[in-house]
Amino acid sequence: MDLNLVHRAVRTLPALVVMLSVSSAWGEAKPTGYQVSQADRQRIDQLADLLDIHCVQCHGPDKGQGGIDLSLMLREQPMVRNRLDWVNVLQRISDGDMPPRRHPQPTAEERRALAGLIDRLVMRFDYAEVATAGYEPVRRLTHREYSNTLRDLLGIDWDAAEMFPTEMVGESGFDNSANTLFLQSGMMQRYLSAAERAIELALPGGASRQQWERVIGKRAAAMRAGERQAEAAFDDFLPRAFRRAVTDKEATNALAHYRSAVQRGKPHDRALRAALKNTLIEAPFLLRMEAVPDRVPKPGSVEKIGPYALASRLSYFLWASMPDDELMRLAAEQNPAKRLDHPAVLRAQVDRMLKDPKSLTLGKNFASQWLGFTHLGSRRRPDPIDMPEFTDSLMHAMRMESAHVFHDIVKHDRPLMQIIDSDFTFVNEELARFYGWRGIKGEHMRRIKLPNDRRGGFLTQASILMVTAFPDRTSPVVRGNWILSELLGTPPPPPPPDVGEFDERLEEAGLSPQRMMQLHSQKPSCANCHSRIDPLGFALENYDQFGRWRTRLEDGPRIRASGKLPEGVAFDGPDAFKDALLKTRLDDMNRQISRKMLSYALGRQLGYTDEHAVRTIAKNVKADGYKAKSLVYSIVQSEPFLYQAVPSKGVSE
Amino acid sequence: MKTPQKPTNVSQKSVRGSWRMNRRTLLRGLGVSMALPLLDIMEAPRALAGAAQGSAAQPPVRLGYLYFPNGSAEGSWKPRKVDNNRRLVQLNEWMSPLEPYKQDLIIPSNLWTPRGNGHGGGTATWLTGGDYNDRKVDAGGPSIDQIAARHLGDGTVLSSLELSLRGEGNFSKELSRNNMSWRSSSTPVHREIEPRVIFDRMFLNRQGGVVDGSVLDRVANNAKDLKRNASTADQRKIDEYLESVRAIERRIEFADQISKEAGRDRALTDTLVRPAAGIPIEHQAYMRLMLDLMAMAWWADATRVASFMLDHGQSNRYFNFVPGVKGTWHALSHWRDFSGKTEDDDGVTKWDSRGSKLSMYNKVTRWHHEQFAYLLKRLHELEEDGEPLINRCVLLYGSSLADGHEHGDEDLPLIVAGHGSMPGQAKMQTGKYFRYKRPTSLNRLHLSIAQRAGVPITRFAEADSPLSIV
Repeated sequence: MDLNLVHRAVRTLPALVVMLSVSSAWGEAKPTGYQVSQADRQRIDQLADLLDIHCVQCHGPDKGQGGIDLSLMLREQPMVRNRLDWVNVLQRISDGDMPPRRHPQPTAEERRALAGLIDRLVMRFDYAEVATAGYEPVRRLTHREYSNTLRDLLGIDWDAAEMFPTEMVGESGFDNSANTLFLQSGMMQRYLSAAERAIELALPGGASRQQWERVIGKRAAAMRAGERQAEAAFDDFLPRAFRRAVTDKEATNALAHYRSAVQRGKPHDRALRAALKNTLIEAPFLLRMEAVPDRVPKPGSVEKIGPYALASRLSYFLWASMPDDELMRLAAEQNPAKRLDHPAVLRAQVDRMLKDPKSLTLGKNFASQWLGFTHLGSRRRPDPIDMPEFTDSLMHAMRMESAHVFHDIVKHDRPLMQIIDSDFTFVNEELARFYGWRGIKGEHMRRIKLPNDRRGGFLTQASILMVTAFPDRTSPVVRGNWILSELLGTPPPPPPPDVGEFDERLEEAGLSPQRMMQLHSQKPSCANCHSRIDPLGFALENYDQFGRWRTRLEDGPRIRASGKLPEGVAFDGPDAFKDALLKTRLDDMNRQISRKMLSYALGRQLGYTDEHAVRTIAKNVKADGYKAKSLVYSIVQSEPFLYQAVPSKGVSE
Repeated sequence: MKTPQKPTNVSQKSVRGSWRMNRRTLLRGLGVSMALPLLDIMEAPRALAGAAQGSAAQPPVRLGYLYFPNGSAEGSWKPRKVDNNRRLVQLNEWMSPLEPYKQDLIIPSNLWTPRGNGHGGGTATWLTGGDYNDRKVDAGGPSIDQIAARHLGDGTVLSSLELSLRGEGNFSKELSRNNMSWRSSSTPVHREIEPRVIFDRMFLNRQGGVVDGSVLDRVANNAKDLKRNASTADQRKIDEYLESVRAIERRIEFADQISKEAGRDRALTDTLVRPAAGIPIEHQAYMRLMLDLMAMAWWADATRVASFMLDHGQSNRYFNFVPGVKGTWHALSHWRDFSGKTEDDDGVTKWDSRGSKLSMYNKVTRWHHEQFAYLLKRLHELEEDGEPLINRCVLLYGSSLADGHEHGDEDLPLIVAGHGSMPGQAKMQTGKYFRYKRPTSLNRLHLSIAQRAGVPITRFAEADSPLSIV
């Protein structure tokens, strides 16, 4: 084993590292000059020395145990590119898990030095140094966006994407991530038939004047049949369908659809319908590409996105649908003080848009994917034979409860603390009965004040409690892990590789989950992490695997949901637990929601070059008393939202 | 604008005559959802595609890739008896459904995937031979079926056909576990799950108001205008769009061709029956309908390259409908742990011993062999130029995991089936079992299979020498 491997790796590190975009799946890269400073270079050398001696034999290019190759990780600068792996390394070293006991151990001083160096190079890295605006490549509309867009463009009430293939979700956790939105050739077939059906619904045979007005505008609808009317129709329809100003050539092309239909012998109104339908399979309708195509963006430049692109970014963020007339008008505005990209105008539009019921998509799409309650009924589904009371409508109400609560917090500018604890929720009759509350009638979801402190906040909602449990029992580990990973964005390191065998041996000994959990905590390699995970989950033991309140385990002892957070704050019962969480972890949650919401707003997964923007947003939100709206304001005024770094040509990964 | 190749001559009548299939065999296969005379209309497609690859004298080779997840238990893939010439004398208990077809099979062993592995990565890279990067959605390269489609797919209505069954349970939406065909290292190819949609993509004619070619020309031209002013990354996205428009164009050409041919016989046009919309409830009926569509696509020469994910990676589907089986497939694959309490388990199903769980795991494998055997049977029944279609096929059937409990990547369960070959090639060594002394890369097998079909490549992933057995 060559102990100098890491060393050599560092020496060959070029002075100027060409940094590549991590979010781009297309091979394009944003070259940003990142200079490893002289001081950092020394630190990296020291770190390489220590790792060489103690770690690289197993975690190097030869063995790469646990999938960790430290020499490779050291080559990748800045080190935050592998942040989570380094956090894991730091934790293992500080906890004394690594190197394993059977190997020679570093001295206490060396351990401190290792931890100190990683802390300095990773945990205290200044992200402002590497911040870039990022780039969202063109992507197709998600199926949900497509349905909503057809609805708002044509005024129809029809879920076009119902029979579309399931949307796949990649690492960002959101279905609107550009790197997973492929336009497969089979999709065009569906777009074609959906376009046809949509136009049929919007403009049935013998459509009324009103129906025509809704689609082609008042002016065109009032005109006499003929080519002039078709022209006027496209003046109105095309910019709305393309979500931007259109070029003369595009207008002419649209008219060509109409003319060729007339030439084929179609009567005027059928030809007009055909031409409208054809517009719905054009690239600028199906793809998110709202930059007006009047010039080529300069490769390598950082520039403001255009006002139309901004209008769409806003509307797909807050509404998961196309911009409405007002947004389009503000995008077209000539006076910069009145234009959409003026901060005051932008802010006013956010206010207006959040009032619109369409902003419920922030709960239905964003929060449901962030917190995972979208999986209730699909990934998590009680057995319909054993549990007939879990009807589709009940699970729908559970998802909608969470969606509405999130929407309500944002819409009414409530503090983000209410995500963890609040005194209201949304229910309908079926869900209220499930929770054991009386006097609520009807199917519609309504806001109510909570009758007691057993409920309040997402941690106590049935949807969340169900997706974080096993079908037959609760799992404090799963719930604890969910809180740390999803809600707070501080995932525990992955379990050590031998964990499976250990589990297996325990299982075969026929031990109860509680007893196993205790044993876990006694085994040192488990205990370090499980002492941070398990107490969070145990705090929620008063809620069973379906989210129902309980005070005893089945045929078992009374539940004592008390414990201590890793930070040392003690609590007794779920309500006190939430207080403790707010006291100690509010800023983690703030940063996590800032990260997640920015990722959703941009439609791409974030990389370390976005971290500066994330932290700036979180800082603004904190300064504003953690008000939910300031989160939205800060996102839409952040650099990644307003600017784009156009990829340069010829740089490939 | 590219147009599919037109038939150079129409004097293939005699050839086409022999294409007509035996109606009874067809009826047996198609089940309830397709009517009897359906395939009478399908003599036409060959006319369109005939010129592309072979002549009438040299019919094309069809390639098929059939994937199943969760591996196969240790020992379950080893034939019971092999003679001194490596000939298969008897398969084992779990492989018994394939016994009647053993002369069509090659069973290679000790093949492995040197780079991609696991439930997610292994599925995504089974056909790419690369390493999967979740963050970048990158499978390390285009998949072998897509490379083959590039060379073989020009004249057919679909350059390739990608099928899978609708997912069930965890991971049914997760990208890497649901894709194995990649147009480029970062572009998975969408897989069809609905029988009717598959049928329509091949055989639906333009009735129902499908747009005509001039419309498609215009939308494509508009998109090309936009492409000129786009960044490189965006240009690639617009190319995806253009490709999807082109696919529609090809389909329309194909449909036109069919209706022209069929138009001569009024009775035929009236009897083209599509599968019912939606998805058959019974899993076996669903699977077999999809296998039928696959066989039909090859037979009609609607495509020469088809792949089918019999299930998605790490499938947690229940196979309780198989007698003597309970629990989900992935849970069963972890047969050494029968506590019923692992995270893979549903918390309800319990087993009494390792042995019984293992036997259930094997029963699920055997059930899939039954389905594969069904496909082989169909390929024997369907004829082309008086020969069974299996003689024109080279199929790869198997998994990206060895024993599911170990998540092993060595000694993968794989079978090559069929006798397809190009002029001048030696015959496939079917009916045999080969054990490689050293772990040998699956990519070499991919390379030899592609070469069998005349795909002019000499390298695939890291492999630069084909395996002599295929």
